[in-house]
Amino acid sequence: MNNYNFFFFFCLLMPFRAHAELNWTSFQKTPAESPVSSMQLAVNQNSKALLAWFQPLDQQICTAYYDCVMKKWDATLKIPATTSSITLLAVSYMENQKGGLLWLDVQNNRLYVSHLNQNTWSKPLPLQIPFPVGNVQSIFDSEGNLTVVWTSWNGLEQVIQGVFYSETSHNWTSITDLSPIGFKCETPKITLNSKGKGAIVWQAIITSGLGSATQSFVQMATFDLHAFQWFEPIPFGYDWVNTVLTCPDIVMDDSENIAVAWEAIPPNQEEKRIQYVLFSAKQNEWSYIYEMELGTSRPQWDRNAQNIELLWVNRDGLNMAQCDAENHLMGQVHNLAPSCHKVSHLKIAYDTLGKCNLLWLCEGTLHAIHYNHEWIAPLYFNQKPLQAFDFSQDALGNVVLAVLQEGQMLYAVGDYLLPPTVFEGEKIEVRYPSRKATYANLSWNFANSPNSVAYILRRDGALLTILPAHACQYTDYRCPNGHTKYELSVLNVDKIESFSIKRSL
Amino acid sequence: MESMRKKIYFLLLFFSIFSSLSADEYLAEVKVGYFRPSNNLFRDLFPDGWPNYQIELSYSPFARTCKDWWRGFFGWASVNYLHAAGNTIARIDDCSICIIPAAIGLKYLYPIPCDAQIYAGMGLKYFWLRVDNKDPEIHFKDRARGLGGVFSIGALFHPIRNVFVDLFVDYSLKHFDKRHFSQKENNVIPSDVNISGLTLGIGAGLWF
Repeated sequence: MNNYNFFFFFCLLMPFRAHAELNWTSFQKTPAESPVSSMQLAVNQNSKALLAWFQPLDQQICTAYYDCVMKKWDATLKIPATTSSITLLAVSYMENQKGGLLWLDVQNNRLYVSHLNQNTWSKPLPLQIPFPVGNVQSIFDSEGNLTVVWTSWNGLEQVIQGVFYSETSHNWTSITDLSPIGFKCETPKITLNSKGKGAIVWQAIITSGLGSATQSFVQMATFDLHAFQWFEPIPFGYDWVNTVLTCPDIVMDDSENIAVAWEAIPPNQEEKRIQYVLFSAKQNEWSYIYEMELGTSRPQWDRNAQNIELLWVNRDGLNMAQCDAENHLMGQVHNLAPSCHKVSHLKIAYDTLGKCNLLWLCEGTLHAIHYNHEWIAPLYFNQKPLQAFDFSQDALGNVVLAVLQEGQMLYAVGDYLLPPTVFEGEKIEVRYPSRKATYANLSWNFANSPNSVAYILRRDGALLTILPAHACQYTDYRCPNGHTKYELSVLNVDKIESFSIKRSL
Repeated sequence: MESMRKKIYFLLLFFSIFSSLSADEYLAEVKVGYFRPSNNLFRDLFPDGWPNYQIELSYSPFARTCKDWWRGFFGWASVNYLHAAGNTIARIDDCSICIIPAAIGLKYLYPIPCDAQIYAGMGLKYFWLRVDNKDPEIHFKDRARGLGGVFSIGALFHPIRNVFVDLFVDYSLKHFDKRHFSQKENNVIPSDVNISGLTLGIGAGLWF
């Protein structure tokens, strides 16, 4: 064991190390039994994924768990639906194995929410919403509360409406009109920080009486999901008549700094550009409206625990820059994918270690890029054009990806740091002339994680030994009598330890 | 060649003088036997049979003075040495056991035709036990000692006067309780040790 300790410290002291990337598995079939029209995926911090999908042929919403550590699917749970026009909107899955699922019954204009507890979905709670509904945006918080916003027609104009769902009272709040009277509102986007504070942004247009000139605004309303309270909307006023402000996006960090961006299409100009505005919560002050260069489009904010980042597309492809909303500063621009101009379905996910994965569709081809201290060259998945994808990652950055391809749902796992899938052992009683001893013979298969340098073996929660990456067995000569729990995890070059695979002997 | 011949002459002279002085009251004997432990565990750990080396001295205080039947009673004392090395079950370890018994007892020799005697005896045997496990992971040395017993039967043949050959069978009895061995590791538990066993052997000695 001393030798292994030495090895461990050697690993920790290694000065030059390559940062680990992801090892993607090939696409495999999910438990879906028939064609799928809609899907949602969430991975909790413990590396367990909850995949939800709708099978229109048998009118069933199905969910299944995937254990990234054991690499296996659990039994499929089914929720019967009354129509074949179901769109899954959001799924959440927490460390305590609780979760939530939100879907829209388009035919009957009903929102349904159901909660997962002890491997059982609660009876779906419906909410009748006005017809017609569009652009539904929703977000769960970590306690299972939910905010949903959408566009609707109130008989005079298209408005933004919103509603909360309280997990505690298992009830919907009343529907609230969020947009001011007199505007045609479209494309709402929603953001929520980890403290339950959030904001919605949307595009608002006033058409003059003659119908020729339009004035375009971006409006924002904040809300408190814990208090189930909406606040008065704030307009980003514009007096550029006929300038269309569209595709707004918003993000709010835990300090309640806000960043809003949109596309501005000036009259008689073909090329659009991104404009953005930043709010410093500390100074309680909005910045000026900044403009990016011509040809910039598709702004999308994302944030992790530390930073706010803006993604956009320009002539050079897909770009990203870090934003300091508090000081009203935008950082260095990184060109992530030079050849990607027609970006759709862009999604970014962060882990707790600051790494992130960014996936997007570019003309039906799925591209992925991984950030781990530096951006690693993007890769694309050699699949037929995909209809949709969803992915989520655990606390360490292991990714589960689901894609829809011609109605068939497939999945792949991006293995950043996963323990071996097989961990077996047996206790052996060894007899000596005057004594008997219990040994435990442990064996496992090799971990596939990139740049794994060592295995960490624990017995009953205490460190037993650290073994080099080529080891695949160990004999514990000090195995205590009675029930013993062993845990095996992998350590990689970044000194990150994987989740453990457990074995009780 | 000359020196060898001198040695043989010397031995013949020694035996002729010795036999003329003999009163048939002492037996000095060297024995070697095949020890088969009765403990199944021992037969799994070690070879089925181990060598059992023995030196035995017998004395009859009545041989010189009495002509009665009880001149066949002898008191005896012996020291044995048994050693075996083997592997522990399921692992390849170097494990050895050494037993040194010292015994005293009584035996009765009964003459039979063809100038031979059969005998039966019993005695008390004091055992010293040493178990060494040289496995680097489970390294221990266990020591124990205690009193046991022995029963023996045999037959003595006299190819020449005052020299005998002894064919014998004896059974030793000794069971060490696990309390003899201290526990150091929580997963290495002391266990009882039964070193009883049967010895079949042959000996050669002088009767003088």
